Amino acid sequence: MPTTLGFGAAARSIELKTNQQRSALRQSTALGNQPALDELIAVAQECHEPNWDGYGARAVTPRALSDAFRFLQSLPYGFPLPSVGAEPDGHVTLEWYSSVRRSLSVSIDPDGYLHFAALMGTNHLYGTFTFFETAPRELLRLIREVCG
Amino acid sequence: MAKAPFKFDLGETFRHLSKPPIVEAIIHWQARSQKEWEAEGLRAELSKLLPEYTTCDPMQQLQVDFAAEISEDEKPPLTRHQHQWHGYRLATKDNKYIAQFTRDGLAVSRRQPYQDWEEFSAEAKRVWQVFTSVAQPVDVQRLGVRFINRLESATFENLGDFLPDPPTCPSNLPLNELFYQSSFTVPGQPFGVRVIKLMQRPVEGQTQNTGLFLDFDVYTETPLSRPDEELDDSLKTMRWLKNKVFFDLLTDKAIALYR
Repeated sequence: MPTTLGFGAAARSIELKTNQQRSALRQSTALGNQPALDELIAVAQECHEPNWDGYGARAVTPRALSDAFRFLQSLPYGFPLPSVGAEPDGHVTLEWYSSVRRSLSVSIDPDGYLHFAALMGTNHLYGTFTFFETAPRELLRLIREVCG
Repeated sequence: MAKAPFKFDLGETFRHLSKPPIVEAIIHWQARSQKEWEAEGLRAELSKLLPEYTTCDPMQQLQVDFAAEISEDEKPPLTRHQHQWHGYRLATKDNKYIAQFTRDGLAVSRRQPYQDWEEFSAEAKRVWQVFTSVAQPVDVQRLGVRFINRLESATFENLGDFLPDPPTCPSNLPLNELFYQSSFTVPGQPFGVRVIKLMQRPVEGQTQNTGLFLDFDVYTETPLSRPDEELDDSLKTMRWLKNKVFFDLLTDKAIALYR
């Protein structure tokens, strides 16, 4: 959940405690997101330099990786996890696949925007969200619909 | 006895507290800048537009950078951290007002001693006008009003004097830490409320972490597409909600301490 930004010692203390509580739950295999984080690390390792695909791809930037990390950390506990990849334009891609007619991909660019495309039966949905530290609620709803 | 259903009534007033336990009040506009910011140019502009804010420190955003080397024994990859400039933190000379300008929005904080809502919100709105001139955001994705309170005299032993619903201690085990977070929707209104209660075991030599922290965060559930027109009404409602929750979550005995 997004938080109103604080400044002082009390705000920092509360943020630290909240993060500790979240990471304790994230460490559980039932509620955690480690498989997706492992894939993100693999993307960082394999795609951090230009031409990582042998066809002139752009390097994935620390900003895109960081935003992908924050996005994954903000998913609700026990939420369906995506497979993580990279695109030749340097974006990080998160993909939820349910069947050939139900899938959603979110492309995270280096400027803090989320571009999504969903296939829901015969409907095609796409658009862009500004990324503010947490996964937008509309995207969470789409992911739920795709994953049933 | 069952509690009465929530009643949304902006006409409901609340007692004035002459010594409110507020350690920080914040209004936060989450709004993406549509202008490219250049660090030195922005600093010069902010110091010209907000001369009362005599300190202007760069803010860095932490970026997780995963090291690309895999060691031969396949240990987990190392992570590095990079910092990237993403705005400025301004402070008035007395350090009572803090304004955080980032490309993702503006947060204005009022630190102790908190005076009153009118003064605080007027100052925050004045700084927001400066943000709109330097960032030209097209909308406000989220507006937040947050009040962090510290009830210094609360202890694990006397929590029942402060909270009508203190935590249950199984088998009368002594409480060692309290962390309780809950969030609420407001029926028929586009607002949410998050409440955190935090109490930590005192650390020897440290006094600023003692007592009970009550953190109220009221926020919009939908973007403000016309912030200039919607801001005043939204803030008024959010402040009312904050007061409603505050006075409902404390005992009369506790409130009497701050009158």
